[in-house]
Parts: sequence; C-alpha cells; structure tokens
Amino acid sequence: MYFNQIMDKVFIIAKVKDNQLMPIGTCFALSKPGYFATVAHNFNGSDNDIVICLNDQFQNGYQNTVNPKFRFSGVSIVAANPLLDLIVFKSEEFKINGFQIGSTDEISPGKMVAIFGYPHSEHGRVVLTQQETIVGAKILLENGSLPSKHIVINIQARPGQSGGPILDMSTGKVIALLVGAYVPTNEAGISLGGIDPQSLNQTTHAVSAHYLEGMY
Amino acid sequence: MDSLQEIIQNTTKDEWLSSLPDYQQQSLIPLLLKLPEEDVAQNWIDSSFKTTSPFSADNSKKSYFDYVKIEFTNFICGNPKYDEQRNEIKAQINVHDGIKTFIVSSISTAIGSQIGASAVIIAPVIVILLSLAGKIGVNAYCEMSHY
Repeated sequence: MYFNQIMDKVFIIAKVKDNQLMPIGTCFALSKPGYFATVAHNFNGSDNDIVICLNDQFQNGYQNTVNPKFRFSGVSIVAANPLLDLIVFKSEEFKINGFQIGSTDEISPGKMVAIFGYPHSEHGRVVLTQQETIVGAKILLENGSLPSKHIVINIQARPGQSGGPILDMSTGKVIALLVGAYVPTNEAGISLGGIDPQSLNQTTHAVSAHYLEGMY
Repeated sequence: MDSLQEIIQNTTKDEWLSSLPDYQQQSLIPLLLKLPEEDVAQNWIDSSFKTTSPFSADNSKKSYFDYVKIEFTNFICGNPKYDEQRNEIKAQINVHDGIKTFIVSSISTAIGSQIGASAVIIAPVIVILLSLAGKIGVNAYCEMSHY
C-alpha cells in the first residue's frame, strides 16, 4: 500500500467556527464521485458548518504544518445510521473517484491492514498519516442492543482519526472505518488535558465497511 | 382521508417504517422486536458504543431526543409555528401518491431546522413517534404530552 495511492481519496473534515477551520476527523471518497463516508459521531447530528478540505498541505511530498491553506467545500448528509456510527455525505464541489468497499468478513486476525487519518487534529494539526498493523480480533459490539461487526486493530489511535479508512493490504479495499479506542465504559470516564486515560491503549475498534452498502 | 390526524391514526407502524430507506429499516426492525418503541427512538439518535471512546477531535456530544419529542408534540398538536408545514401537508393529502413519505420528510425537515439536526438522522425518530401517536390517538398523545 503506497501513500501516493490514497492521498487524493482521504480527507479531513472540519467545522467552520469564527471563520476558522476546526479539524474534526477523517473521511474518504466512495466509488460514486461526490460521495464520502465517515463515522456519524464526527457530525454530531448535523451538517451545519461542516466542510471537507482537500490535502493542500502537501508541498513536493512534504506536508506543511505551519498555517497551511485549504480549499474546502460545504457538505450535506445523504444517509445516516447512528446505531452503526456511519454517515455518507455529499460534496457538490469535489467529485472524486474513491475506494471500493469491502467487509470485515473478508479478513482474518493476523492479516495486515493500513490505516489512514489525521491523528492529533484536536490541536489543529492536519497531517495525513499512514499506519500499518495487524487485525487483532473480530468482535461484535452493541449500540442500543444492536450487535454489529467490528475488528480490533492492534495500534494506538488518537483524536482526529475517527472515520479513517482501514484497508486490506492485499486487496486495497476499505474493510472498516476507525471508530475509537476500547474503554471499559465511556459513561463515567475522566479527562486529563482533554485525554481520557482509559483510551490510551492499543485496542482500537473499527466498524465493518459493508454496512455502507445501500447508503449511497 | 382528509386530515393529518386521520392519517396518523390509520397508519400502522410497518407502514410508517416503509417510508424509511432500507438500510435504516434493517437496523430498526430487529430493535423494535426487542425494546419499547420510545427506547429504540432514543437509542437511534442519542446512544453510542458503550465500550468505545470515540476519536473525533470534537467530543462535545449533543443529545437530541428530548428536543425532537418536544417539537414533534408542537407539530402534531397544532403549535402555530408549524402552520405553514401542516398546511402544506394538508394540500398534498389527496394529490400526493407517497403521502406518508411526504409527511415523514416534511416533519423531519421542519423539526431538524428548528433544533439544528439533520432531517436524515431524525426521520426514524419521527416515524416511531408517529406510530406511537397513532396507536393511542393524536388527542390523547397531546394530552399525555401536556400540550
């Protein structure tokens, strides 16, 4: 899996606040031009003031981390399933041909995957980053009593990576979307400097991408 | 049928559900067999994976269910702020083929813009609340909701 194969398909989404772009999380282009997928919690119920930004921070292969300027476009939600934490949205401006979608059914624990996203974007850092690891487990997680297929990837993720595509390195298909870190419960956690210490682990959950079928 | 109230009271839960896209129905139908309808509606819009700490850079989670319920009551119980949308529905009742889908879409859009939420996300909640109101009758629903 080569970085330059995906850098025109994975993007940061941001909220416009006080004329500033506040990065929120990661999204990726789907095979239908103009359509993109991410996790629902990035949108928090609304597409008001949400934009998708192109990767204009790249300069001759390096990413400018000092005041980069981005072209961006407003978006509208076209399909949402909060129980699976999935959203498909549309940009009228950016018609990009994106990834083929697979499923966590197609991969076994021990197989290599590549993860793309924008870690640490809660601090305004917008650096498209590739990580590689193996699938640690295939699990069922419940949201509102609805079980859904997930994988555990054996790597520590950080805020901003939510919605990032996880690619099967043998096929190049997106098999899952990064959701977050395992915690015993997300209801009574504490926060130290904006970080939930329970989330500092290498058990990262990702929801199967096949649930996107029928959403675009 | 000649009124929104009659349509609400003469439409079954399955008929309302069929106004949603298949991918939403596929998640809601199994839950409606297991949980009370109002719990399903609340879970749909406000719940999250209990053992996953989300990695969005913005973790200010909003809860919408109570606001949707209040505005739904305002809509079907006659609050004047929704006069325009109710009149639009009334005008379409005998001319629109997919009137139930039109009703769900109109109510979701009106309430979504009122509370700052996407109509796509709240439509399943509206479907469940329409089904609940129809089951007990619109007048009884409004009375129970202290309208």
